Amino acid sequence: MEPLLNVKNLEKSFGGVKALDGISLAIQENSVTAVIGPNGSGKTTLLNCINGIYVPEKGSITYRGKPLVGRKPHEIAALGIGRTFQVARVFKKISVIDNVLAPVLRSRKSPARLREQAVQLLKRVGMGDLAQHGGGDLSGGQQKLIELLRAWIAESDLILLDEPFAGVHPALKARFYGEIREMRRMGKTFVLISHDMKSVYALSDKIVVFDLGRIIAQGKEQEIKSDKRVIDAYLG
Amino acid sequence: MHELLLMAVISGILMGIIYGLIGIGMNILYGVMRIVNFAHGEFMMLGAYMAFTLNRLWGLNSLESIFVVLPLFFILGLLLHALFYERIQQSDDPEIASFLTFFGISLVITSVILLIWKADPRGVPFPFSRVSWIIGPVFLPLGRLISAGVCALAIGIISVFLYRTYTGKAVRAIIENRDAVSILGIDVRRVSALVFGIGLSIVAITGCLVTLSFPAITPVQGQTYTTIAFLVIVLGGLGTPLGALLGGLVYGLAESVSSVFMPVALSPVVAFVILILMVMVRPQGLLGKVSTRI
Repeated sequence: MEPLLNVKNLEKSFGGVKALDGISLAIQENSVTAVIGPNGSGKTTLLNCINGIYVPEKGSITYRGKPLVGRKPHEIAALGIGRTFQVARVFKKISVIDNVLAPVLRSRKSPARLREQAVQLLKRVGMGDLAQHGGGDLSGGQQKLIELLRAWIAESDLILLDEPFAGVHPALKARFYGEIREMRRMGKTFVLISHDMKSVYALSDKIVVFDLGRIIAQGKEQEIKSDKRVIDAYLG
Repeated sequence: MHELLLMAVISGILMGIIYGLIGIGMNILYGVMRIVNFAHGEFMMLGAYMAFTLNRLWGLNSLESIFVVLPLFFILGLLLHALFYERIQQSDDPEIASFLTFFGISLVITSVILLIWKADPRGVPFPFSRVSWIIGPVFLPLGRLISAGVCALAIGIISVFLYRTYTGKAVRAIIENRDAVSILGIDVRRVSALVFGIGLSIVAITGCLVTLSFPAITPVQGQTYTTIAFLVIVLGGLGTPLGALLGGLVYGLAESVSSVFMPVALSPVVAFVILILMVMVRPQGLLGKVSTRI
C-alpha cells in the first residue's frame, strides 16, 4: 500500500552539524508512528522539514504522492497536515474559541457552523466554559489541547505531535490519549515525538529511533526495547 | 483660566484622536511586518498635497478628496509591498532594513513634493473652515471637530475589522506570532499585502484631514508627523493597534494642556518628557505586554 507520507534520504544541516543524515521513513495511513531519540537527534527538525519551516538540502518528502519540499508552510497546512509544538503556539491575546478557529479562517464552510463545531470541541475536552477567555489564560496543557483541536477542526489527515505530553497534568494527559484515539478511529494519522515512553508504548503502532540525525532502529515496542543500538544511544 | 483649561482639554482630545489614527497606521505595519515606516509623515503630506490638487482641479473639499486619495494609496501600498516586502523580510535584520528603505522613500517623497508643488505653504479651503461651535465658554473649530469625527469613525471601522472579521483576527494573530499563523494555513504574505494597503489607506485619510485641521501644509511637515507617529505608538505600545489611540490621546492632551501654562513652542517638550518617563517606567507602552519583540 502506498504510504501516506514518504520521506526519502532527507538531509538537513545547520552550520557544520548534520541534523538529518539520510532519513528515510514511510508513514502508513491511519497509524501512529512514534519518533524517539535523545535530545538533538533530529526529531523536531524532521517535523520542521515536513511542514515547510525548514527546507532540506537533499532528499524528498511526498504526501499522498505530492512533493512537499519547496512548498510554504501555509500551502502544506492546506494539503491537510496539522502540527502541535513542544511549546504550544496559542495566541494569548485572542479568545480561546478564535484560537481553535484560526486554521479555518479561509474555510468556505459557514462561519456559524464552524463556531458551533468549535464550541462542541471545547466542551468535549472540558473547556467549554473557557471559550471566551484569552488564550493566555490557559495552562500549558490546555494550550496543547487547543493545538490538537485546531488540527481536528481543520480536518487535517496527518497530525504531527511534538512532545504533546511534556509538562502536562496527568488528568489532561488522559484526555489527550482519548482524543488521539478518537481521531484515529476517524481515520487520522499521527507522527508522535515524545520522551514519555509510557505514552509512546500506549499509543503507537511503530516506533522509530533517531540518533545523531540517523534512524538506528524501528519496529514495535519489544523490538525497540531489546535493540542494543537503542540502549547504547540512550545510555551512552 | 478654567475655561482656557477646559478648551485645552477638549482641543487635546480632538487632536489626540487624529494623532491616534496617525499612530494606528504605523503600528499595524510594524506589528504585522516589523516594518518601520519612517516615511509615514511624508506619505501623509503626499496625501495632503493630492487633496490640494484635487481641490484645484475639481473643486473637491478635504473630505471629498478622501474618496479619491484612499483607493490610490491602497494600490500604492500593494505596489510597495510587492516591491519591498520579500527583500526586507529576507534581510538579516528586517527592522533596520525597513527603516533605511523607508528613510530613503521619505527623502524621495519630500523631493517629489518640492518638485511638483514647490516650497510655498498651501491650503485647501473648506466651506466651514471659519465656523466654530460655541458651547458655553468653549469654542470648537468645526474643521478640527469634523477631522476628529472622521478619525474616530475610521478607528471604529478598523476596530471592527481587527476584532470582528476573520481577516482582522488573522492580522492580530500575525502580530502575535507570525510563524504559528503560517503553519495554520494562513498565507502571511497575502495578509501582509492587505495590511500594507490598509496602512497606507489610513495615511491617506490622515493626510486629507491635515488640510482640514491646519490652515497650511508644507513639504517638510512630514518629519513632524513621523515623529508624532513614533511617539504615539511608543506611548501606546508597539504592535498594539489600538494602543496608538491611547498614545495619541496622551500626546494630544500633553501638547494642548501644557500650552496653557507655558509657551506653545515648548509644548512638544512636555510630550517628549512623558515619552522618556514612559520608556523608563513602562517600556512596553500603555497597552503593550512586552518591551522587545511581540
